[in-house]
Amino acid sequence: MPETLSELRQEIASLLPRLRRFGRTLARSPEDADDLVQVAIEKALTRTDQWTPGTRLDSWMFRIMQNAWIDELRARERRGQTFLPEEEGENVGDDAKSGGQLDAILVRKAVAKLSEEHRVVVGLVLVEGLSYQEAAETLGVPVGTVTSRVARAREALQELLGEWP
Amino acid sequence: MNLNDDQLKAERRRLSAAFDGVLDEPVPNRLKALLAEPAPAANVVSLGAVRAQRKAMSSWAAWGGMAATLVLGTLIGTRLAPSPGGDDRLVASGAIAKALDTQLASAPTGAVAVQLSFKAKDGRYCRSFSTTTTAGLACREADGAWALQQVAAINALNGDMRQASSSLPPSVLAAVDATMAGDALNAEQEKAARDAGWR
Repeated sequence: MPETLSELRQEIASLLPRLRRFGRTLARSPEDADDLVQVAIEKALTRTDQWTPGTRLDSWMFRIMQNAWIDELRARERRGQTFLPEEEGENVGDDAKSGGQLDAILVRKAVAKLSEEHRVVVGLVLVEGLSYQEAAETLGVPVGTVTSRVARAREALQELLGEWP
Repeated sequence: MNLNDDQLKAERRRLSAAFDGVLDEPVPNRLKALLAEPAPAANVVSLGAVRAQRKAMSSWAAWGGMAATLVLGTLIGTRLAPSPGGDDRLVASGAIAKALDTQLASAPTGAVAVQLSFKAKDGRYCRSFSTTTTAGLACREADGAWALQQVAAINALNGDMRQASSSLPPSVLAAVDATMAGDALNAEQEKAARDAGWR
């Protein structure tokens, strides 16, 4: 467990791949996702005193990312700015892609169509593997809220993707 | 319930497969750099503190006080560039120039650390900076360029980047000492100077 600032930095650095993955479930473009990770790290480093040793560092970072993402959405709304387009074309006419990669693209596009509150629980629970309880603590909402959001998100994904194999 | 559990597992697998690709991608340097050990930039230090720091470090032989021209293009790539005017000044560009323009030593952010801001004997504003590989002193010219007075590579001592990047190299400290007119700017003065465009 990290005890010094230096160790905490190293721990966060080792989480980078997962932070980027979570970012991609929140943001629709990889650039936005990495920007979000960057903002979250900068925020985390200015408030390391707010992290409680003994608690999950990944959940703490996810929470900062989620809050930063909400801030970003609000800021863009205020500016009337549209989102970076999702990667249209990455699947167009690309026969070389294997079935698995095609499916991955379809799934990512389906997730991108979900509402913000559904995407975040998909990211935390279904992709990052947090328990409902951990996801609830990360988001600061009751566990029942997470349960019902996951259920609704799964239904929405089923509708978009058809029956799961 | 069993059906649901199995189905949930299948969904998790499919979702993971859709997002796991990023786990194998190299993490961009801009993200890794945020978590590298930064140079100390928490405070605007006084000249006295700089002198004390230099004294404490004078026994370190491992600093490579390298001429700026040698460093150019090899260690620091595109972040420092010969000035577009074609004279033989070296000016900061890219992330370093941006940090020098906007970043306050009293409020460190990002991969470039600014330690010290002060007025030079000739009236220019000068600022010391460091990255994970380079440290230097730059002074603001009338045309808005940050002319590099001194640049040194930061050599990792025994591979320990943390130790190496925790202080300014002696050659940069010497340049600070030689250039500075009075005291370093305090946080308030620094902010005022920045807001006035370092003029």
